[in-house]
Amino acid sequence: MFKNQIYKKALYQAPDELEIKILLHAAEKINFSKETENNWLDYAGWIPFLGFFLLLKDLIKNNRFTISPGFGI
Amino acid sequence: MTDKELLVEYLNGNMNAFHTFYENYKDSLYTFLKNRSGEHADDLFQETFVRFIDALTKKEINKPKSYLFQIAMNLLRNRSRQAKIILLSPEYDVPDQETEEEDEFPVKEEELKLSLLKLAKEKPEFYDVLHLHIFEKMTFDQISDLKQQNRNTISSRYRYAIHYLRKLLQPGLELVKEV
Repeated sequence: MFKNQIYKKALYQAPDELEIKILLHAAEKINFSKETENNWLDYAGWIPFLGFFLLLKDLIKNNRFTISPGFGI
Repeated sequence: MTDKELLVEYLNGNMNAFHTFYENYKDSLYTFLKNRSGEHADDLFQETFVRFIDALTKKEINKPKSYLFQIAMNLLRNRSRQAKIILLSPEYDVPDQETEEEDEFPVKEEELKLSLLKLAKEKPEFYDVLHLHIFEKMTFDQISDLKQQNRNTISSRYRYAIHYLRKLLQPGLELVKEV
């Protein structure tokens, strides 16, 4: 069929050097988005321990445990 | 695995999935750009994929193949405003024959490539349809959706493109008059 001849005979091969550039860009892009995600988690990871550290600080200084400046236990 | 599934895999860190997607379209996209833009094909090819990747990491792409070719066409349009849009009058049509079933004639590879190049230069809108239908295996409905043009216009353009190519390859054949 004419259509098949066009498909088989008129196809050009994309140059290999372009493939390398494009795959590198794809790899960089996916690593960048993953890094961004990880950094955010790194920064956020210490938040749950904040309360514990404040209580520990009061304990070491032999202060009364404070939940907020207005209340003491 | 569908294109969309491959790209989801890629976004989850699987570079092999992206490579498969790239392998599926690299030659046909390159052929499209080579015929449409000649010496600028390399730049446009790289730019198309870079833009596609950038978009992919920012938003969901439902029809990756269409999106890829849409980017390529936009880049072509930006680069050269010469691509004239050929309007077909309602009476215009070419013989409604799927000529590929008939009178098979062997064509030399080089002649075919040159003829496609000529078609792309002289009738870019027709070439686009032919390329998307033959190389990308897109249906007329899908092309119509991509080009935002009537399905009948798309199928007429395809038939005209085939007829035009045959005319180039068989000089004795009379070209249907374009209105």
